Amino acid sequence: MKNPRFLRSFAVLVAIASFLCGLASPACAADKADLSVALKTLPLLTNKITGSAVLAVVYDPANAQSKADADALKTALDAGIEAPGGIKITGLMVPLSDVGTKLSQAKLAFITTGSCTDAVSAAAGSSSVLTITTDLECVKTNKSVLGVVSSPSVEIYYSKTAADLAKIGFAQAFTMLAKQF
Amino acid sequence: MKKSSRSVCSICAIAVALGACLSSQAYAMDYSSLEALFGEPVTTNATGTPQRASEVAANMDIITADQIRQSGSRSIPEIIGQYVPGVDVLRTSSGDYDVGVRGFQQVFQARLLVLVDGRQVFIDDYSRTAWNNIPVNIDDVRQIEVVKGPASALFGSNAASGVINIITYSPVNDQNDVASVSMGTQNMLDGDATVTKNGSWGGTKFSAGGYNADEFGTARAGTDSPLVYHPDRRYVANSSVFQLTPDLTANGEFTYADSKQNTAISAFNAVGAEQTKTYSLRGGLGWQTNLGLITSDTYLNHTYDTIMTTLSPTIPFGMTTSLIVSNLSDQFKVGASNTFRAGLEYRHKDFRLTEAQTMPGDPAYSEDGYAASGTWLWQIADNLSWTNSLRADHQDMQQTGTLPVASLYTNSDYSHAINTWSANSALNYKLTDKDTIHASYGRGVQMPSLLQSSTDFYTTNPGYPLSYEGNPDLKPTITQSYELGYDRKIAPIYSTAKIATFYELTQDVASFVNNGMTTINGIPAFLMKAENLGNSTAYGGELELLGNHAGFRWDASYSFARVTDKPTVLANQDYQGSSPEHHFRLNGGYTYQQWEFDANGQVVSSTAMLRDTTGAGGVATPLSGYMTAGARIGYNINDKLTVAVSGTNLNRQYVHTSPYPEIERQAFVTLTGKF
Repeated sequence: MKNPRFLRSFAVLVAIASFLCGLASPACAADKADLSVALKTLPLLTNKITGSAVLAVVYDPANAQSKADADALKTALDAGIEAPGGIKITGLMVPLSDVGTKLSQAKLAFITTGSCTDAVSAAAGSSSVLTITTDLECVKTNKSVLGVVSSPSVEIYYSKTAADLAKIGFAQAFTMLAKQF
Repeated sequence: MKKSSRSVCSICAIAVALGACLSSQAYAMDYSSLEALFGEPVTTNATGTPQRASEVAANMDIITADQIRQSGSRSIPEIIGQYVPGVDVLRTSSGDYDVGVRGFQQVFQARLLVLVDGRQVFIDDYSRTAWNNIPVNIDDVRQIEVVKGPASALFGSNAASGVINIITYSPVNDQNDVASVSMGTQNMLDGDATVTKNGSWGGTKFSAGGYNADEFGTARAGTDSPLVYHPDRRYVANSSVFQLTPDLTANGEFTYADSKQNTAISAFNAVGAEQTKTYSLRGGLGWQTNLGLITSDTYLNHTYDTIMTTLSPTIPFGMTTSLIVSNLSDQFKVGASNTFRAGLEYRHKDFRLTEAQTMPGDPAYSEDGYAASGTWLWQIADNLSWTNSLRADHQDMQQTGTLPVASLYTNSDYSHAINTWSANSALNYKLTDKDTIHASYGRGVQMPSLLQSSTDFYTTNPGYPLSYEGNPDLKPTITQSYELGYDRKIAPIYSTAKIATFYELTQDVASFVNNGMTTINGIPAFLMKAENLGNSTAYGGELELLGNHAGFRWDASYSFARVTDKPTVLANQDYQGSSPEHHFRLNGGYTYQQWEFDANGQVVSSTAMLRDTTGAGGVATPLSGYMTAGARIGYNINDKLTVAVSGTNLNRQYVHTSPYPEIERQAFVTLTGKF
């Protein structure tokens, strides 16, 4: 690890991976399709959401990938999106700095790639906010309840630890079909 | 009868009490939301736990509601025969069907378990399914799941060569309000309706309907019943789910069906006129706990059946069968990669022959069965899973009452116990995103039918005194199956190709055997006695290409199954001759704006099924292969109303699909409203 050549190589690899991820990988970049899949999980909550719900888009303004994801999601939300069961979804843009004050206004939070922090997880957990992300590492580290892959086929990743922390329950059949790390 | 009713009622009460503490999987699972989320049907039929259709290791076909509508048929067995390679449908009259899996075709199909929302509609008297009696609105069917291969480890005996589970829309998770009316040839008039009411409290769904038609006017044999029914059905069904807490649901169900059909009867190899009345009561709970999803399910099925034959042209042969099933199961996940299901089951069956002209002693037969089962689904890696299921059954049998004078056995002979076990093991390996391989083994159990297990009857027909005898020494029929399958997604042609090959060994095939004129207790009688006949083997496979793109849909398949019977099986059951070796299917359709155009065709190779046309017993009757074609044109008048014209056997006015009476061309118009 002290080898500067190794560190440089590692940094280059990370940069290339991030670039490729940002450009091409659907598992990282969030878009309307991911949001649509995520919303289809709502009927499978044991405490069902009815009427309307605020969806917080958590992003890091300093992270280009996170900002790009947030902009894409904002565009989708501004165009109007309805969840199954006629639930009207309203978007709320929440920069990382405002997570502590704004996240409690939402029932759902989409954690964009690059904004998955302990603070987000803690704020969501204390306000029973269902967290969703396309950043699977965020699910793996139990900071997001759900991870969504919409292409080439739908995959849902589930963190029971994060769900328990936020006191969020899903139908048993869903938890058996979702993948867990 | 009074004693029996009390007995059934008290057992029912115990079973309901058992069930009341904890709902069947069918009610506990939100199929609609899961299908919408994952973009494909989900099922519990392969492992008892939820799985995506693409990840099921068993050989399973799921017929969707769209396919059902596009099939142009309102008959469930016809729809299954149209879409599922490896399944052959034997139709012996307008309303009588038997469905055989992978070659083991027979009248009164005993090897295939049929369920509606997880409740058995298979009738244990002869061990068969009275398809015409199933109390389901075809417009309320969400999907039909067909598992090929033994599945007793999950569903108990008689899932020896497969299981069909007909899943209807949920009263709580779906809003299916639909009514339809059909009119067509053979004076067919069919009407069905389903209404659903649901809310945060739960939901309830009510279905009712029926049909009338004329029987085909094709030639019958002298051995067939002189009485010919106009086939019909009337049914009502209600199912409800109550959301007691976010984690606890209770469900209840009631069904009643009354049907008439002209039915081929296995032991006689001739057609009888049958009336079947069934009712069912069901209740259960689904409880989501930290220990997993605990479900209980208890139901009572009662069947009253009468059959008129040439042997008894004025007094019907009648049977009542009661079945109580109570089960308790828990599904849970351990860690990220292990899913388990553990289950306990109790079964009670009561059986007696009615119209007791030949049964002065009112003999009654009952069975009590106890079973423990488990399933372990191990997700070894993202692309590799291994599923294992095991089930042990213990069954006590008891015969009471005074037996017919010409009986070979006594009550104590019939009162005994049988222990059986069944198993499934399946590996599913995703080679790539496009390629999946699966390998499986299954050991299925087919218990002797109630008629084969109990004392039956002695009748003094002039010139034909007949003794029908069950056999307490019968062994269960065991089926072992080995299968290898490969699926590949072929994106450039928007299709999936599936190939599967199997080998199946069936041991101790059981059937009634005509022993000819004999003397029993000094009384002369023709003796029909249930016997184990020996083994049958089968091998074969299926090849299918299905897909859709730009409004077009297609499904082409070929299946091959070669059965070899031991001589005793060949002479008395004749799976070998009854089963067509080759079966081609082609389904194609196109949706254009408000229009749906669909056509289908099947080519089936020759058979030589047992048929008695002289009264001298069943004789293998050669029959050439045949081809059938069907079509449907549907037009959506608006968002709510659809009109469709459909037809089956359109290529010929009459077609001989079996040695039984020919099947006629049928055409009808259906108006469907969704509200």
